[in-house]
Amino acid sequence: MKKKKIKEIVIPGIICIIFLAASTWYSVRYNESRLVVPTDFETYKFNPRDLPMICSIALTMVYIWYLVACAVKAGIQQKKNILKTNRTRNLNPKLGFLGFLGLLGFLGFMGSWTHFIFFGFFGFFVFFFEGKMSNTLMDERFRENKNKAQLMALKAAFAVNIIALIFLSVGESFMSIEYLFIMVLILLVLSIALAIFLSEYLLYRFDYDEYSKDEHNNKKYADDVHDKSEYYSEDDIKE
Amino acid sequence: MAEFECRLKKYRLLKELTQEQLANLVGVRRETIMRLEKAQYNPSLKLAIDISRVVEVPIEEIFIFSE
Repeated sequence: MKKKKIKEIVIPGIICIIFLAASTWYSVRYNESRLVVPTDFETYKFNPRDLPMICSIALTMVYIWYLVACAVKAGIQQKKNILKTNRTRNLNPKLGFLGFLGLLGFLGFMGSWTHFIFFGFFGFFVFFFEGKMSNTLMDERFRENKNKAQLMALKAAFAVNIIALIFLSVGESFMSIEYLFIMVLILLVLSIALAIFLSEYLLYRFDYDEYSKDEHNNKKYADDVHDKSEYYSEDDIKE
Repeated sequence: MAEFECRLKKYRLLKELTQEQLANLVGVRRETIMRLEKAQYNPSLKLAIDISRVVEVPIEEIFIFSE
């Protein structure tokens, strides 16, 4: 990402945080913490002193929408680039660490069941492998491997979905309906994460394993002819 | 079952092309050419035609399917 673009995203964010902090301080200090503490909007009556808080919240909402718009725009641009260059997108493999956000799903065992949805973030581990295959030319063999990998990933996810459905249909006899739905929710979210992760992981394995095997064979030959530096040309000469 | 044999390497060397150069000319990766030469990959008709045009040899002489 260009520095200019980073500035365009970070600076409005900092401004929003400053506004929000200032209006919160104002509300706590001079407006009995209105709109800071949970507010019942059915009995709410507008007070001009609420304006700073309302403005800062509105500004934050606008900023969030701006971030969403930026993300969508970047996604569309990246898609166009992929079509134009016929190469995979450029990603940093370190983004794969976002997969650890999936651990937030365990919060569901402590509080609201909606937290189980965070298990879906385990799918972000896919970036480890997608990052390693950054800027790869998508030739017909790559596409073939990709289709094969996606098919296998979807089959695995489908199998998990079937297990979830079996749980749903027979689980009522030995489990309360609430736990049953939680179990099914976890399985469904994990199946989505699995499908996302497996498709790229398998593609990497298909592509990399074949490649490394070929490299290994060529290297072995180079060792035989005592020329490690130019084993491809030696391999060619052999014929 | 038909047996696949590929003589691409021979014709590529006759044209004095490296795998990388041939790959660039036909728009695939070097690894794809490598696997083709080892007869471990069946190319699409388009790729086969592109290769035959580059090495200037008929397709049936590069890719051989024997019963």
